[in-house]
Amino acid sequence: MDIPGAKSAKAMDEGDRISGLDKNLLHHIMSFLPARDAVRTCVLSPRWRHLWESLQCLNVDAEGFTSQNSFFKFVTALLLSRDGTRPLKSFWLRANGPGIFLENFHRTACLWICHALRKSVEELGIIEHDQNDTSGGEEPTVFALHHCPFTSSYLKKLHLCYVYIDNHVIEKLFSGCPALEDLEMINCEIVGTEFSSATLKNLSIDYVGFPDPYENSPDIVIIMPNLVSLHIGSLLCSMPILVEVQSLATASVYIGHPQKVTFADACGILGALSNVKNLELLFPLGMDGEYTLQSDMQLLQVEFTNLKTLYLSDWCLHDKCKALLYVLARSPNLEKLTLKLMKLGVYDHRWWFPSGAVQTDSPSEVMTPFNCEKLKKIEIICPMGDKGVGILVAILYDSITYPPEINIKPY
Amino acid sequence: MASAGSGDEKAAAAAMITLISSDNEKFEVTEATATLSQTIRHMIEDGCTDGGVPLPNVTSKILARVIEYCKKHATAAAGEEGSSSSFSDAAFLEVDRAFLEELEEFDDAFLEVDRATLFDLILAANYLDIKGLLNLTCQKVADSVKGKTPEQIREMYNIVNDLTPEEEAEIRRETQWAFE
Repeated sequence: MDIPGAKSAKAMDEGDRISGLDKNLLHHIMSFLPARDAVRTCVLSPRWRHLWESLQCLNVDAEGFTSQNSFFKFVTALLLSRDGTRPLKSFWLRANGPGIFLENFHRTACLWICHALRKSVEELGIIEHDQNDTSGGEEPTVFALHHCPFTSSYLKKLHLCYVYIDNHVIEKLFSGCPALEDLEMINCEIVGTEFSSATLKNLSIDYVGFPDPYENSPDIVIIMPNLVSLHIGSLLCSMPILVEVQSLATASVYIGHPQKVTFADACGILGALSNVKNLELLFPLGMDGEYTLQSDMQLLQVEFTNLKTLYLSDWCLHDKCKALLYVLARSPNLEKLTLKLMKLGVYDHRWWFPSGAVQTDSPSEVMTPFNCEKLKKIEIICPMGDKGVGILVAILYDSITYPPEINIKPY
Repeated sequence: MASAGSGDEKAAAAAMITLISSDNEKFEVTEATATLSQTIRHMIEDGCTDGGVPLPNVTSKILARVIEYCKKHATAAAGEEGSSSSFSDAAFLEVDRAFLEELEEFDDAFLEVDRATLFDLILAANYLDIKGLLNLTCQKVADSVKGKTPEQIREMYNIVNDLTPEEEAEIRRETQWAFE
């Protein structure tokens, strides 16, 4: 490291400070630019003329392109004109221009991706045109990965958005990319059923305003012995079945599929997460199915010895909070508990707390209070004026020997 | 989130490092704050921080700002470390959302600086090897350039165009595909 600070401080008070930065810093700044803006810096001055050619992070962004053709021409020229001796670190392909869909020039888009993989790309993002945007007058399509030869010993992170994924693609991806650690899928049409990888560390599946809920999507089996974090955030996702995910430290699972989610599903997920440190398990639309929680919970036989933060929605409050109390009693290291109650009227949860004081429990059903020594904070997020909260608080105070302060946050 | 208060944390908090700016001003910071800088982390690991860490490339004005950033973000790192040690970007956790939003607000306010200070921060972040601060400041510069014409960028950053009109025309011809 030379002393750029000393040099620039006196010479460039009012002058050209940006051109005085060293090449690596300029590259770093340019890596945040859309690729076209980065290339266009070549006419700023001689200092800038060839800078873009050795960029290792390219954000190919269709924003600002007026036609599919000019975008197409740009990307191909970009990949052919850059310094081919430099490997790529990251390559993002975003089809977010008006009427621009990767699927329309599928073969070429696959060639670009293939090119990036051959240039040892470590982080790859493929974002197909937003399905909600019909302004181009065209029927939205998702981008199918079928013909992309995913074979790379460098690829570490893969981000997909509005991409079609089936078992064939998943299998090729996991077998062809042994270094893959992060996989993020946003609004993807997933018809695959088995996600099995020994290398994956972070898996994220999200649906945000996906236009087309596909009703009968199959369950997804996730078999990932090295997974550290799992995020499933979705209102339309299929039911995940977790197998061999003992290494998971952080899991946040949001599933809203009122026809499908059952208490057995919830217990299945809980049972697979025995080593988790941070857990969020929410069913925003409530759940259906036979209320078999009691027997399901007892079948679990799981201790959550690592659990430190826990965030649950009101599914765990059924039958006087049985599921919640079951988990709490087996989480000796829990530090923070957050409970979110849904709005009344959507799925009225007041019936969970039998009104009146008719105690019909047989003595064996009454839980003895337990200790949550490390629990420092309980937070209840509930609709304004929710009458169930009082009962919930009373149950918590009855069950926990030395309960911490309970914060109630109305929304 | 900063309330874990275990014995270990108190011990770490007690370990103070002295940073010395180019104009000889001394700053006492916790080790947790200082080690957001990989450069300083390595110095601590090598045991060469006794008597203070001289930073001849960083003025007191900029160092104060850098420390302000590191203090805020060290709290975030500590919170994450407490709950999950092996990875640090579980940004999807709902329980952390309020905190992350606060951090974002802090970053936005932090970037409200004049251009000279922004470049000084970039150089300091680069020298001290503070990844988050370097990304934040470089992103800010990139955002200001995005979508601008070369003329606008030259004007904004006082870039003297010493290309002849012929040279410029030639470069534009070569990279015509990027100017359509």
